[in-house]
Amino acid sequence: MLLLLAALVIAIFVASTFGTASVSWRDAIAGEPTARTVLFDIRLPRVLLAALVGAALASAGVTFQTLLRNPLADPFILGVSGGAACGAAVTTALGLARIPGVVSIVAFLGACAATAAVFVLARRREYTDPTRLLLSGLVLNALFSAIILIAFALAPAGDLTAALRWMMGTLFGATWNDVVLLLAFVIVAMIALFTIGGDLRMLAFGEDDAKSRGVDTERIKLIGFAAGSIVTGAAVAVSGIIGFVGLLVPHLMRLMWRRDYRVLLPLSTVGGAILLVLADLASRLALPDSELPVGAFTAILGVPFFLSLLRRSR
Amino acid sequence: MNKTLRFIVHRSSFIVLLVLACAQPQEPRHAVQRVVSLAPNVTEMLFALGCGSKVVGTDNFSDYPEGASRLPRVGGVEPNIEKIVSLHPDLVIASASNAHPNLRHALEAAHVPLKVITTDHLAQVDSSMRDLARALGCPNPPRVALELEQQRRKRAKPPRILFAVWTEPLYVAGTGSFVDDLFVLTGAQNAVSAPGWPQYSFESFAAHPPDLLLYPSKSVKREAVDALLRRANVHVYAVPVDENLFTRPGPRMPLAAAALNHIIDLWEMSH
Amino acid sequence: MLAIRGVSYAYDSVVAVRDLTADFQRTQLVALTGPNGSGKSTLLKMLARVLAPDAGTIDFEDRDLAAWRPKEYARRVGYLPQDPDPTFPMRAFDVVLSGRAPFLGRFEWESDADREEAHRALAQCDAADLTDRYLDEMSGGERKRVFLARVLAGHPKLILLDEPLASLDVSHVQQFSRLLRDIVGRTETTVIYATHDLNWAAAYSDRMLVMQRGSLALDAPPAELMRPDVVRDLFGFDARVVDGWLVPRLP
Repeated sequence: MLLLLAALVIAIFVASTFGTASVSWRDAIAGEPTARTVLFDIRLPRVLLAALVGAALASAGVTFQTLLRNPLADPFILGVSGGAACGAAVTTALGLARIPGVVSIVAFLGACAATAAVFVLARRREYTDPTRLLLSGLVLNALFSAIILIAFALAPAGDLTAALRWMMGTLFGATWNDVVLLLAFVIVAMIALFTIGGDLRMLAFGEDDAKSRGVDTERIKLIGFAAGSIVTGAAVAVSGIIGFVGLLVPHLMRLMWRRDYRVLLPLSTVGGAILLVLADLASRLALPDSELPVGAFTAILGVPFFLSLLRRSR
Repeated sequence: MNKTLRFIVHRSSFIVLLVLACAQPQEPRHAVQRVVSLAPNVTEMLFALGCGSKVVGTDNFSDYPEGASRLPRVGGVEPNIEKIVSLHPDLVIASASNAHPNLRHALEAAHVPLKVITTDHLAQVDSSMRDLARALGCPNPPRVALELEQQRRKRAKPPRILFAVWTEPLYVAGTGSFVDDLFVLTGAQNAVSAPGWPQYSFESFAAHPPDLLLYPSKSVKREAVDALLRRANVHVYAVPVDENLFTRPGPRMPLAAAALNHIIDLWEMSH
Repeated sequence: MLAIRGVSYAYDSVVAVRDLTADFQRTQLVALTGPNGSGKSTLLKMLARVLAPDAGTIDFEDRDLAAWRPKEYARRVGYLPQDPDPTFPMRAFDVVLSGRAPFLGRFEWESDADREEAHRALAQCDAADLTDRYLDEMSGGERKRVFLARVLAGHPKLILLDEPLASLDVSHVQQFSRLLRDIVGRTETTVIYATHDLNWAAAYSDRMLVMQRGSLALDAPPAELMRPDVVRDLFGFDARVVDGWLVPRLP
């Protein structure tokens, strides 16, 4: 754990040192205006936002995988991404995406609405069935894709490019406001998840088993899914849909340290932050002037690492 | 249905304009000396206004006029903010239609003023240029409105024109765009009644073919157009056009209108 | 110790347990049998507080189940569902250690004493050699022993096992039955386990319950069940008894 935290600090330092504009920390601290602006107003918030988004997605991922008892679960499985993307797409189609901030707010609302809808659909006789949750999420995501396609067909062409880039996931244009906002969400979700961690891990053996161990499974599921979804929704609102982090990082951590949820949660949170900081660095530096989608680099960096671990494990 | 949609789209873009007009950032008080342009049509406008020397950087697609393509490039839809800052601009100019939702916040954080121009319609080209000339103190006044007016035609039988941006499937220029405005100006009409850049129904195309088919000369091959016409079993007067001329709402719009008039005149003569 | 009074439970409209009454004393090995769908699992789930009865009451140590705080109850009663499976690979020791969860506070971690308990429970189930093995690379019999150790790690007074003998081969069935017998003797607990194997149940248990369509059809010592007429009545097949062992008559 300490090792991972140290790795995160190093990753953040390295990622804020390198960029397309060559400026040095020394100049920035000495007060050279360009260096200050580039380092403190552009690069540092972006790197920190990458860390927070990675932390948010990976913690939601490990929570959902444990709650749903499904290794394929990721933060977007309950319709969060569909709801957010749908909100963004409709906003774009109506031409409202040009007003700053609107896309983020509508995306966040869409994510919340989608999660709530999935929960209502899956609940029956005061019991939330994980299979029904998965299916509801799947079906709602399909419905959202349909709406997105229609919205895009009607959207103005230029606006479409920007909307598509947003949907691919991007840390472009990160500001301190985004960092502070997401940090608040991540802290609240972390407190909630740590509080239920001891009970949540007991769900690994199934709900009947957990109930017989004195775990209030309905409460744990509600808190776990709500915290995971809200933090995912907040991450999506500031950065669009960045794939693979939430799916990959929990498995990486599980392969490296075979431990239960109480340990995997902090490990995944820090691991997700590291992976996204490095992926963002790669996406910024891959081409001289423009950026590539960061979601592609999370997979490009994470998958070989994952496969080598998988081969080495029994 | 179509009408309602068009209404919504028109109405909402109107609201956007209104909000944008209200939300225009305070313009820099001192004279602007260094400008970064984030759209090809903006770059063309600045050079046409005689402010080309103030442009210190452009997006990756600005290739006209000659002088613009030699300037430093700062990226596409998601421009590199660090690079922009290192060019020390006192103003960044973007086009509303391809500005990233996060752009304004990003530049604000970097203390670089941003100006966004809107050129969804043909009439906005001249007003945007006038606006830019005022903000930058450019020597040449815009003549676009005047030149466009010279291209206005009334035709006894307005030809129906389809502007195909892709043939497989058939993507076309819809209503509510400056291309549509160009058609109206030159006395023609858009064969499409859907808004945006829709995928056009192949059945409608075959059953009710347009009089004229325009296609971008660089991205669509002649053979692809021939194949399309063969498959629909229709004879349409198909003409390649310079896509940069027709898809950039900037100072060269009058040239596009002139080219269009020429094409239509030729078509009228042959009929 | 455990008193069931007129308990019923229905899934939507399907009645699983119907007006069932029974009492259980300390230090008993009780086999719960009956055809598939007769309500054995549902009864065990109610006793484990997984399901709450629609009607009737269950008292444990003279207190209604609903009145127990969940964790308090979990410290006294251990339940093993049919085929529990941790979604992700887990070491046997960690599986057993998780049996100590009801004893931990919200932010508390397992202490050395808890680890000691886990080792003890593994040894008790002849599973000390499995401590560092992973569950997914064990045989069915080994897994059963590990999960029994998990239940025992909490020193329960009452142990509820749902078909622990299913999918075990004959030698493991015997081994496991003997283990249950041993545990009852050594720890003075009561074990109620659901099983389909009348012969092994009769050979090892003190008492047999037979359920039919949600009701208790028989509650008696094994000797009373192992008679051809009783077996024909309750299970609908012809058998003779050879050396206290039921042998079906083949056509």
